[in-house]
Amino acid sequence: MKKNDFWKKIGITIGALLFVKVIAHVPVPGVKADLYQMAVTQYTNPSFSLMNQLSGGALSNMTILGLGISPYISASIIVQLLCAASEYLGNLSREGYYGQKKIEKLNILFGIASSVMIALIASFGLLRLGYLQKPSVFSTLLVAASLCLGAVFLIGIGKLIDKKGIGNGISLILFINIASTLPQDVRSVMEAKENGAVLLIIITTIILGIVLFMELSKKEIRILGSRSLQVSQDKELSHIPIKVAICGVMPILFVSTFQQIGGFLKMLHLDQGVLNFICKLFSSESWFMSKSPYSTGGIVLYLAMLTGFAFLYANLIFNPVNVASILKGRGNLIPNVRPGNDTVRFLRKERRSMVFFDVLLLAIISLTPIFLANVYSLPMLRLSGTTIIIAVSVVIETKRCVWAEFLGMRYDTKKWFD
Amino acid sequence: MKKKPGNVTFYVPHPLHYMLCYVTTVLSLATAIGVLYGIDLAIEKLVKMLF
Repeated sequence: MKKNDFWKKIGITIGALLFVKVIAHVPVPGVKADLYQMAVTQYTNPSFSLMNQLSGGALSNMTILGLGISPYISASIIVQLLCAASEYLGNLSREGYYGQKKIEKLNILFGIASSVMIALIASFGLLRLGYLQKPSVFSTLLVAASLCLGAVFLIGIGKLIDKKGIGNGISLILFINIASTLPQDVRSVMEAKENGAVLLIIITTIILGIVLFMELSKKEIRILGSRSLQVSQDKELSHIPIKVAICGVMPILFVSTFQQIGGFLKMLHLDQGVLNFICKLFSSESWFMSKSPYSTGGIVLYLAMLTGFAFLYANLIFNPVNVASILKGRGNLIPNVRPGNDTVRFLRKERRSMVFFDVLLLAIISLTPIFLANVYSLPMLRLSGTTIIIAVSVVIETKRCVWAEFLGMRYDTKKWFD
Repeated sequence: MKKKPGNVTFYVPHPLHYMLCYVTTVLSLATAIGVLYGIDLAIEKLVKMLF
């Protein structure tokens, strides 16, 4: 890679993110913005706050990026679940570059479809609640089209950064959205209570420490190559790494998507019957409150979903059957473990312990702030776990990408023959 | 720093490496949040000035 290419990639990434920030100020046409914003400021549902935070405050201001990147994230989660359920898609996801490209196309298609669906629900909800300037089908469809276009624009920018910039585009958009709402949240926590700032600093420090530990720690399974069997075992030992954060932020994102849907339905007054019960279960307001009937149920459901999705996702990231067959094909083996079924069983056991550890840490990170928020009546603290884990993971991932590109540039420009 | 000898090794970062990563991550986060906040304020002012 040439020196110019590196700076070009940096320029494209920064330019694309700046463009997103500018477009985030374009309002949706035909909405009574003042009335809507007044209603939103009085609405303190944590699920809605999370959705608003992930959209960078665009949802509370009703700008065209109001849906944020969430439709794409939920679509990619659905596609991943389908990959686990369907044999055809499962095989496709393991087909290397060609398969991944097809899966990516499917992600985009599902992302657009879910944007259209959410935009239509939102616009008809706004019509029902009287937030549209002209209550007609045309203006409702105009609002839906604007929101949908905004979501598609974000997907496009994310893919542009993936292809021509540095880092993961979707994660970076999510990060700038979270980062731009953080100063306001910090201010509101400080204003809400005298010791709010101290509590926030303590929580942030601990969560940051745990997230970093998860990102930097790993389990290494030693493997022996066929050549190294003939020489001293200490000399040639390779390893398979399994990160503590094996699933990354995906399980948290998955559960928060469900929480967001609950908040969204509640905001639009669409929570009726069974939906009302589910929305209340997902709303973290009532968790750890002994008087609330939804407290235990909500936490149990949250943990069950977190664990379930972590296992499902870990299977996609690290499939013991595939790893065992690759090891066998290359003539490698794990010391004292027979190739084949024994290796699969061994790898499955190791992966299981890592996923449990990952889920335990994720649960501590996400539930501790909710517990403290409900006990000390600091509503803004509720979101700190989820948002900090997303922000820190993106920072670490982007740092790695930039460093890799930088090394690539230096490697190429180094004069080997001088 | 490596613990637990045998087939499986649990690798935890060296305390110095961990501290260095902690500091750089906090600095990166703070810089990103500061820059984005500044950009947001600038765009808001620009929008108010133009419209």
